[in-house]
Amino acid sequence: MNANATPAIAVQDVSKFFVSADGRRTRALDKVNLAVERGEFVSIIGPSGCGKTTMLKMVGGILDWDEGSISVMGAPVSGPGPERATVFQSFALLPWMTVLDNAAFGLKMRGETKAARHAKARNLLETVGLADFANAYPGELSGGMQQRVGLARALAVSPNVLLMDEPFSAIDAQTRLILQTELLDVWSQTDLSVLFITHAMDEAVFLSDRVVIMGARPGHVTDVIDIDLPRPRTEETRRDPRFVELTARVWDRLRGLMTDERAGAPS
Amino acid sequence: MSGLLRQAGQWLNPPFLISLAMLAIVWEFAGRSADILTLPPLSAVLAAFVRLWSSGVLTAPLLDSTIALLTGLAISLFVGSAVGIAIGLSRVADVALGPFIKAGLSAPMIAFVPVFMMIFGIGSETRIATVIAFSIFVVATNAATAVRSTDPALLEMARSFGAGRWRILGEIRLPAGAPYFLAGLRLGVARGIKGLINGEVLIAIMGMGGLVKKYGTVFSMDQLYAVILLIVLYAAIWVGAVTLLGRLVLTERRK
Ligand SMILES: Nc1ncnc2c1ncn2[C@@H]1O[C@H](COP(=O)(O)OP(=O)(O)OP(=O)(O)O)[C@@H](O)[C@H]1O
Ligand SMILES: [Mg+2]
Repeated sequence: MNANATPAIAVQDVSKFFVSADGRRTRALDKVNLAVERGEFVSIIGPSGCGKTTMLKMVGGILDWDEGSISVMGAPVSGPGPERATVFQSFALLPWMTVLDNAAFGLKMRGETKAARHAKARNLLETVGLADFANAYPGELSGGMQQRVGLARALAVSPNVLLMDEPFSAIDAQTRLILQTELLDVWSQTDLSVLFITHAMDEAVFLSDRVVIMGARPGHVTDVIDIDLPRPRTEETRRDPRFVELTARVWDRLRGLMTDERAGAPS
Repeated sequence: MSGLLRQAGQWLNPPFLISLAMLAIVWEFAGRSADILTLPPLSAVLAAFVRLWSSGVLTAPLLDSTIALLTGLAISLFVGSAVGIAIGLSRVADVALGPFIKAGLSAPMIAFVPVFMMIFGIGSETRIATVIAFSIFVVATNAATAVRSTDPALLEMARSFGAGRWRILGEIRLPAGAPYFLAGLRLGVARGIKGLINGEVLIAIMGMGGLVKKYGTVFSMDQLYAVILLIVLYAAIWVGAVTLLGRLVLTERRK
């Protein structure tokens, strides 16, 4: 049993087609390959519409693909599973439930008793610094606090793999930097593997072990950049010349893709 | 509770009170001066109201009508919601039943009362059927919208945590649709009362509508207007109460 040898997420030669309203098949993803090792933090960055969300949904098991294979923790994906949890761009909190019940939602879906799920959810609210807001409603919280609830909800189900689709893009720039550090704190205390989608290059570099760059039309992986910045990453990291250099390198690669897009052809 | 008071306070604002007073004055003078036999002065109507109320003549029809209304509404809410939810969730149900709901929503239901009379006879079943016919379609339409209009992000979230179709209905679609269900309830109550009185006037021997018929045929205008006043108040109180209930439920959830 050497399950530890298999990556946390393995995407192999995956292609995806969408059928448009007029019946035309368009290729959204073309033979994508991607691996996230156990305990690794990987970001995907790429122009809008290149298929990042599509990828993440397929790994999450809520969207089918047409060719190739996807496995998580060594097992083929055939739907959502208890070893995966997702944090959403729009937070996706239930406005009629308290923060505590929101954080416990995933556990409820897994059939845990009220006492057990509340105990766990309380624990995680403490981890994300929201213990005092257990009985508040999402509408009473700031965006940053709401996403902390989203994170607590995902962590409460004790996943091995955390999927995050632009989780901080709806949050103001200052809070965002704080959430990045908090996320790394939480992650470093666990053996979580993270697949993180973002449009922010500094965010990708600051958080990740590797940054995967995707191009569009159809969606494909163009580059993988290793981020060899030391951990733990702190505010100092953001001023590290290496951080600046890596961010610039990501931008160089991305800019190439963006100009392709404008010209409509490779230049 | 303060919310309740604030809601009630909306009716006690100066512009409304002034227009109410103007209406009362115009009514009083029109009733007194002109020799319009069909319009007794407001004071006479109010006197008749007090007289009828304290003699207890209104009590039995009021209770009788209320029981029929609640029976009809209960059936409408139960069946209408179930059908509406099915339509909202399933394409097949939508295609099969949707057109009937749309037709029923705009059809002049009063035309069916004679049919109900033939089926159910001159009895309470006929007006219950009328209440249902008037209210069920708006309840169903709103129930369909309630479960259809759920934020896709919430559905995706629930699915990602392994929730199945029925779990999603109970945990996400129904609570998220609460405002639509409450709107359906409010409209259903308002239409149900219309149906109730319509049915009773045509049936002619029961409830508040029966009183309208009774005093109308003998040209007892002050008593006729007193009963109409009662019906208007009755409807306003019901709709107001349901609206309040809805607001309370929604603020309790603190959207
Ligand atoms: N349900 C769908 N039906 C048809 N086409 C779709 C569907 N979902 C996505 N697409 C198309 O697939 C492509 C990839 O979409 P996706 O949402 O994955 O992009 P993205 O990289 O997440 O973009 P963004 O950065 O804007 O979030 C887009 O061209 C989009 O129009
Ligand atoms: Mg996206």
